[in-house]
Order: sequence, then structure tokens, then C-alpha cells
Amino acid sequence: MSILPQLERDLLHAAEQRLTGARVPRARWRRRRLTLALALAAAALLGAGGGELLLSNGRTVQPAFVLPQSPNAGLGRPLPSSLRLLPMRVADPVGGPPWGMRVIETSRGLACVQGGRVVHGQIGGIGVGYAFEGDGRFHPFAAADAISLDSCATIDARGRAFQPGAPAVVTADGLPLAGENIYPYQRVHCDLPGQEDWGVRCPHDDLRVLAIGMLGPDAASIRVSTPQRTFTVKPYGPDGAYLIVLPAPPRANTGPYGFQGRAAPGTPTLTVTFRNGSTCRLPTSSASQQCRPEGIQPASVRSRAGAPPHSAVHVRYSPMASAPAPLAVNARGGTGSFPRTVTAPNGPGPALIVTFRAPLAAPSVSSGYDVELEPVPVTGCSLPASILSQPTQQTISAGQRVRIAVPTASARDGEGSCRTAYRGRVFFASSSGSDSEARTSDRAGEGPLYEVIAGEAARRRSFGVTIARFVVDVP
Amino acid sequence: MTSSLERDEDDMLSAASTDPQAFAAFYRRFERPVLGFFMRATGRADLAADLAAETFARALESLHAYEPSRGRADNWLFGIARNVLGSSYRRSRVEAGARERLGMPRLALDDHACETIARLGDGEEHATLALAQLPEEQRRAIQARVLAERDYAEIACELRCSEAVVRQRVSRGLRTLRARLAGGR
Repeated sequence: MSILPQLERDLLHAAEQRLTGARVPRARWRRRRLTLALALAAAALLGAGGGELLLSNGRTVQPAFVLPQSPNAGLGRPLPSSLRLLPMRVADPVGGPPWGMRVIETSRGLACVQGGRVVHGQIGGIGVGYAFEGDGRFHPFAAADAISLDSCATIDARGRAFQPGAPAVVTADGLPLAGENIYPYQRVHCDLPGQEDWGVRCPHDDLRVLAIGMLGPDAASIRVSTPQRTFTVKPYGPDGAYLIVLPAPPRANTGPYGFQGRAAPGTPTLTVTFRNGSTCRLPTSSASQQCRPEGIQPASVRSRAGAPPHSAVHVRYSPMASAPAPLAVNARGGTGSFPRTVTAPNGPGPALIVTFRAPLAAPSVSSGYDVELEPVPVTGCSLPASILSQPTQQTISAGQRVRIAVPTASARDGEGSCRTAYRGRVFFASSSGSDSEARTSDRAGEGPLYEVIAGEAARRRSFGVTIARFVVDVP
Repeated sequence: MTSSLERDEDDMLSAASTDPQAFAAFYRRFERPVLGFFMRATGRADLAADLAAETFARALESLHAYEPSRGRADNWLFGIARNVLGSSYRRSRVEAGARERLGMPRLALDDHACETIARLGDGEEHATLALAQLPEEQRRAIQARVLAERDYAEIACELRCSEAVVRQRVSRGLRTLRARLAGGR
């Protein structure tokens, strides 16, 4: 008997449907819509009573994924001492608890913004509309809900982060602001603009337009423009934090709006002015109007005694080693395809084991070491142009021994034996900025480390600080 | 050098594209190993169940891509499992796309299932400890044969000894492990 008989039944059912070609309904992932009366009653209760005192706590919104046990790996763990509920409170246009925001830092150098409704000094969501079965209770967010690569930015040399958020349509329950690390079915319970997950569009009355973010210490003002009015908001403190909550524009959740970044008519725009007089806009499709991190100082990287970083490297070939799938494999001729001769092994396979002493510290999620391999071409063998290992994902001190395993081309998957030599490069790389920037920016070095390295490799650009080169024969 | 058990698993998966019951059998065969894998990776039974569900859903979606000539069924399945785990780590949330596409409902877990899944991780911890205490040559042979499920010939090549020697090391090591895990010496 299986441990999860329900899963076995569901899989069998899905397999049968696939075989018969039956259309698979997605309705099962939808939440049952609350009765309108209940939703209205809850909203009226919150609005009439000022909200806060009437709300008792419901269950906490738990993170979907556990963070690494070690504070020195992956995205790190939230630092309790860093948790800051910022003092600004913004009234909701309809009523109920005010909106607020807090900043959470991780042990691996990320700063994450989390917004929501504020009750008794806590950030969370409220059970109205489709959220939490409309229980009318307050559901605190966990700090770990906010920890993810998508919603956090790198902390600079002075402890600041740049995370510009454009106005977006959210539900009044506050759930979309918990962070990226919650289950999809906890995030919202009806479809917002651009979504077709639940089959029920969020009613307009449940919607707000909200902008939240951090612009750094040099942000001087934010002008908010709507069709009805224009007003100015002063960013808060050295974070340059801002939180703006407005009623959703008419038709915000109908038609094509939300898809491919199309905002409904009437969605506000933000114009940010920095102390040096420069301005930018949120949102914008123009590169010249994009917001840049003014006043943010990327953490500098220095080797000991100012010497060029260098390290002796030891390279060993193993015909059967556990190595993570490569970060990128570039084909010859610039096609960008992934040749089949390098499999993403996901299991033991041929690999080069590269070990060295780190000449530079890699203290955060935005810095690490990587290995690039270039096999020497062999007639009759379909070898890739280059193979890039996954960058290290743990905190590394200067002088620490580092081991990186890089999968090599496998004769088992190719056309015969491909004995050749590999030219290799060990390099240190760092990045700045946030994921949201990476999506809109083509500037080198911005975004999550792995994206930056893969992007540079795809452009055939040498990237990072080379600390060692080697040549090794591979049978 | 493929055992009959491995052939059965490959056949089971090959048949699954036309026989839903074969896929259910495949699920039953690999449910515990996959749950154990995720339990050890996450330390939480509910996450392990969720990740396992997504893994099998993706496997079902990808049946057409499975080619026995390119690798064994278990390697193929655990490749998917590692991808699910990796992408879930990267996104910091459990992926659910395949289950949504297949119209599968969310998994409801009872306490009994949670305890059973949690024990899959516990058992492994004891076994790992006992394994670490074995002589180096036996430990390497068991890791390669039992945990990585590689062929004897391949292991013999790597360890630079004959297949018979590898078999002997595996056999002796397993005997010692069984005795230790059962409370013997």
C-alpha cells in the first residue's frame, strides 16, 4: 500500500485522462468562491470598526520552502536583528487596518521588502474576499515568506538596497505582498490582472493599486500621477522607502490589462527625483527613464595586500563524479543550443574536480567562484564551445579551500570516444542589483549572480576576475 | 549489466504511456525512494510530499520523452526530482505547474502519512552514520553500487579492481550495516 494513496489515485486519474485525451479541468485548484454576502459583511465589519481591534489572529502564512539550515548557504537565513517595521502607515481607501512595510535582511547579504496590513505591530493579511476562507481574521506573515531571489535585492557597502517597485494591482487582503516564498495557492485566491489561475476574477471592490519599494538614500521625492490628481510623497529614511496605496482604476481587472505589462487606463505612474536632480519613472518602457541605483555603492572586492588575485589550482578528472548540471553550455558557431554531448547529468558522470584556495572572500549571495571549460575541438566529435559550472552558493572566506565539480562531455551520449584536452579558467564574479532590475536592464553585472554569469557567457564575454587557468587532458 | 529488476522498472515506465495502471505501479515502486530523497533534502514531511507529487506529475507529463536506450527509469525519475528540487530552491517555493496542468487537486496529508514520510528521513540518517563507520573500501563500493545504483563493471573500473572484488566489498559492507542497524556490533 502506498503512503500517499490520494496521490496515487490522482496520478492514475490524470494518466487515464491523458490517454483518453480528455480535457483536464483546472477547476480543482480554484478556491470555492465565498458568498458575496459574507465578503461584504467582513469588509463592512472592518471598515466600520476601524479594523484593528476587531481582528483576532488566524494562522500565520508559512513559507512554502524551508530556507537552508546553514546561514552561509543559498539565500541565507533571515537575521532577526535586521527585522525593521518601518513607521509609515497608509490608510486603506475603503477602511480596515492600515498598510505598512518592513525590511528583512538575510545572512547572505539580501534585503527583502514585505508589505501588508498592520495589526498590533505585525505585518500580515486579512481574511476578506477570497483570502483565508473569508474568516475575517488577521494572518501574520513570517519573515521567511519574503526571502526569495525574486523579491530581494543585494545590500550595498553601506547596508542599503535598491528595489524599485512600480504600481501594481493587488488584493485588499494584503496577501500579494507577503513575498515570493509562499505557496501559489496561498498567494491570492482569485485572478488579478494578467492571471488566469483560479478561473474567478477578483472583484473590483477587492482591488487596490499599491507601490512599494526602496530607492536608496539619494531619493528626494516621488510624484504620483493619476488621471484625477497629482501629489508628492517623500521617501522615508536612508532606505528611501515608499508605500503608496490607492483605489484600483475602473476596469483594472478586465480585458487585456496586466498581460505583457499593459496597465489599465488610470493606473498611476511614479516620477522619482534624486538629490542630484536626475529623474526616472515607474513603470517605464524607455531605457533612458529607467530608475538606476543612485547613492547605492556596490561592495568592493579587494584581494589581500592589494595583489592581483591568484591561486594555485588542482584539477582532477573523474569518470564518475557527482556534479551539478552546468549553469550553461554554449555550442560552437554561436547557435546557443545545448549540445547533447554534455548532459545535465543530475547524477554521477564524467567531471573535472577543481580545487583551490580562495584569494578573495565571497561573503554574500551576490559573489562566488565559477569554472569555465573550453574543450579543444576533435574531428568527428560534437563538443561544445564552453561549459560553465554552477557558481558557488555558500559563504567563502579568503584563504578557504574551494571545490567545484564541472561535468564534462560524455562519450556515452556522443558519437564515440572524444578524448581531448580542456582549457579551463577559474574566476571570481560578483553582481549587484535585484532580479527586477535584471529583467529591465542590459547593464553588465546587475541581477542574481547566476543570471549575470550565464548572460555574459551567452554573449561570449569574458567575465569576472580570473584567478587561475589550467589545461588538462580528459580521456 | 542490467538487472531484471531494473528492466522491470524500465518496462513499467515504457508501458505507462499506454497503460495508466503501469504508471500507478511505477509510482508505487518509487514512492518511498522519492519521498525519502525529498525528506532528506528538506527535513519537512509536508514539503517532501508536495515535491514528490510535483515530480510524479512532471514524470507523467514527460512520459513521451523517456527513452530506455538513453538511461534507466530510476535515473530519469530522479533527474526530474532534482530538477523540481532545484527549481523550487531557486524560486523559494514548491513548483506546482505540472499538477495544475494535469488538474490534480492539492494534496491533503494526515498525521500518519507525515510520520511515515518523516521516518524515511530518520532511517536514512542512521544508515548514513553506520555507512560512514565502514572501512573506506567497503563504504565506497556501497555508495557506488547501492546508493548511486551503478553497474559493477563501472565501479570496478573506477576503483581499479575486479568486479568480483567489488561484489565482495558490497556484500561484506551490507552484512556489517545490517548487523549494526539491527543493534548488533
